[in-house]
Amino acid sequence: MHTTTADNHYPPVTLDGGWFGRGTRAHWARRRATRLIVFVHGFGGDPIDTWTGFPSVLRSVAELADCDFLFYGYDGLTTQANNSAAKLHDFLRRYLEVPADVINTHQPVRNGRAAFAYDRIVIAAHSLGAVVTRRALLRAETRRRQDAAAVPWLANVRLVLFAPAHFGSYPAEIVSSYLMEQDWWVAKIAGAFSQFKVMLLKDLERDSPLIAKLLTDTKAAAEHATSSDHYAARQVLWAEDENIVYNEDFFEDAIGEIQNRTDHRSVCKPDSFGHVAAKAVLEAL
Amino acid sequence: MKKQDVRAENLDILRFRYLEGDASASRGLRQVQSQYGTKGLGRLLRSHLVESVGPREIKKRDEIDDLLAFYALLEVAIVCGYVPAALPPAFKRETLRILSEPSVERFYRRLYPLLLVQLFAARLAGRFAVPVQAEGAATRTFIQFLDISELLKTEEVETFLWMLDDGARDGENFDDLIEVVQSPKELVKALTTPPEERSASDEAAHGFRGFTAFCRQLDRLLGETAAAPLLQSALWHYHGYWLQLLSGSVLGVMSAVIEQQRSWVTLDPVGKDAARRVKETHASMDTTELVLQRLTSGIYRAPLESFFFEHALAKEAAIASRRSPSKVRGPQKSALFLAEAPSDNVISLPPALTSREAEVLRLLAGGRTTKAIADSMKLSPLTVRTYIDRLYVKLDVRNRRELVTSARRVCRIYPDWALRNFKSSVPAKSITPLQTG
Repeated sequence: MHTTTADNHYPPVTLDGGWFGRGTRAHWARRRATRLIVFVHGFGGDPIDTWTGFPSVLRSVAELADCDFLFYGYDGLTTQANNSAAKLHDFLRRYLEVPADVINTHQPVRNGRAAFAYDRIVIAAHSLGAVVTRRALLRAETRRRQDAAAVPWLANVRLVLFAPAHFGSYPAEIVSSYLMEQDWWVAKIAGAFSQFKVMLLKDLERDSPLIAKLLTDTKAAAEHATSSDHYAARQVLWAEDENIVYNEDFFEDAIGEIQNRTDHRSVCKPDSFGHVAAKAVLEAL
Repeated sequence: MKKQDVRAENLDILRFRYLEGDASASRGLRQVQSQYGTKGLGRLLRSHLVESVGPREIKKRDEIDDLLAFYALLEVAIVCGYVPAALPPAFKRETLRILSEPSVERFYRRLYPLLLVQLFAARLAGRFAVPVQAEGAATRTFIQFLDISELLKTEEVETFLWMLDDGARDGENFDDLIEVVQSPKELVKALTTPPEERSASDEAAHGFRGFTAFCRQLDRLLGETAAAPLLQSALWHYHGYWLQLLSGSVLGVMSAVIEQQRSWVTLDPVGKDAARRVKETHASMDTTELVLQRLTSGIYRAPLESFFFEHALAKEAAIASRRSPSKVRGPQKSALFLAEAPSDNVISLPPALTSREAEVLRLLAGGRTTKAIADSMKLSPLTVRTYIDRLYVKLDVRNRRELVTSARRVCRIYPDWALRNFKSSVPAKSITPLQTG
């Protein structure tokens, strides 16, 4: 891989509203893209703040001139995980059906792309985003079994996970990670917040039905899947200073690798092209 | 693709997204184009301080504001080398015409001074221009800037900013927001209520969090651009309106809330433990107060302001020595107008303050409440309120936030006034919100 000063991507644009999610940000390549990376943030995150550093780093890689980047956004604070998964699935399904249609409505006519499909789709997910993504892909797998032609893109998907919460999280700590900027709020309300009836926090408890079902459903899907790429993560990065999620290997995922000098929030924020987080995504392509 | 082609393409795309279809700036453009030179446009773009406007008018003004914000963005894009400095002739002509429209010009120059728009107009008129950063790194800076700016475009942050700007939504305003963030019970309720069921101040509490996340990101980006002070200052000025609103009494109130809450003795052991972990994990992270103080201190504001005034005054002197202003016509006349030092806007006659009024204003700017000011000055709260009312009249404002913002603006343009009123009694720390650029 090489860095470049050439600007190979259009100005980023927000695809807000409807099935696009909340504040989803697109960095489309100037030339016809064959590859796509979709980023899915975690609890209380957003498409920009969670992935600080990624857009700059990826746009500076010469070999990614033919790669589009989407930073997907959703309500990761109060909406239960299964609903967010259904919405992510809907987003992937609609966008990947005819990506050129979405791209062309956000560019002047002369920049329009002819119809195309991506050869490779990497989904990079952080924390709760890992749970949401896995459930979204399980939905896609279910659809594939019903109608193989309905989700042709599923075979091209690969997963990269950062500090995944697929074994649950410590409720007060995950709330405190959301309130980082307001650290003076944490002492006062993190505990109360986590005791409040927020469905999403219940979802993320270690022994919640959702967490237990995620593993059993993944194992069941594996029996029918034609490829393991969409349920077995290629790369899993754990933060060295992790105190929010449980670091455990999940089913057939690659073994989790500790990323030194990172915590739950910084594990997915590369500061350079050689950063482990950036490398993990690039290798999955 | 050649670099200049890429820049031209970037400009095309930005124009497509902002000035075509149903984009807000596009509606603003059509409004101005359809009302060139009319009294209706002048009335729409009048000062809020003299006569308030209704919701329908606010929407229309916002659209024109968005158009001007787009021009400010283009100025930043040019300085970053992201779009060509030489704009296509037809686009340049039309833009100059809009920026020279008297009502529009009065709006961005006098009533609500927007430095980047004034610089953009000066650039288009060929008077003077901020130098373009030629390095590729500046392009990346612009992309990051675009991304960071999006953090302000969520409904939550927009509600917070609306309240910060003295607006009310569903009958709730900034004071209601402060009540929410001060009460643990209210705060938890606000943060755990689904979006569709939130009250306006609940929403603003989320927006407060989002805004501070934005401030951290902007602070980081400004730190990275320290080697290019004009570019750094341009990035700051694009969001300068909000950051200036934040300074003064609002920052004082927020700092007081934060300070009070830091010292809160909580009975919640789970929250206490989480707070301890946060502190341990992020020991090197600057506190929010420090970030906000940096962004509102004036260090980022000054370079571009100095550049503007130096060049504007030099150009004015050069033009004045060549010809009489009455002979200058069209865009050139407009450019000359832009280059004039402020002379007759709403803050053109700084009022004389008594020493007591100056002291009250200084303490207000430091975020003190009426009671705290009364205690500090050994006066009754009623007397302090009387001084505040007099200040409202003298500075032609309606509330404390406007008072501090207006006073700061006067200080910036009339340093003598600042020195006369505050030099002898204001410690360096608390003069910050009122100091000159």
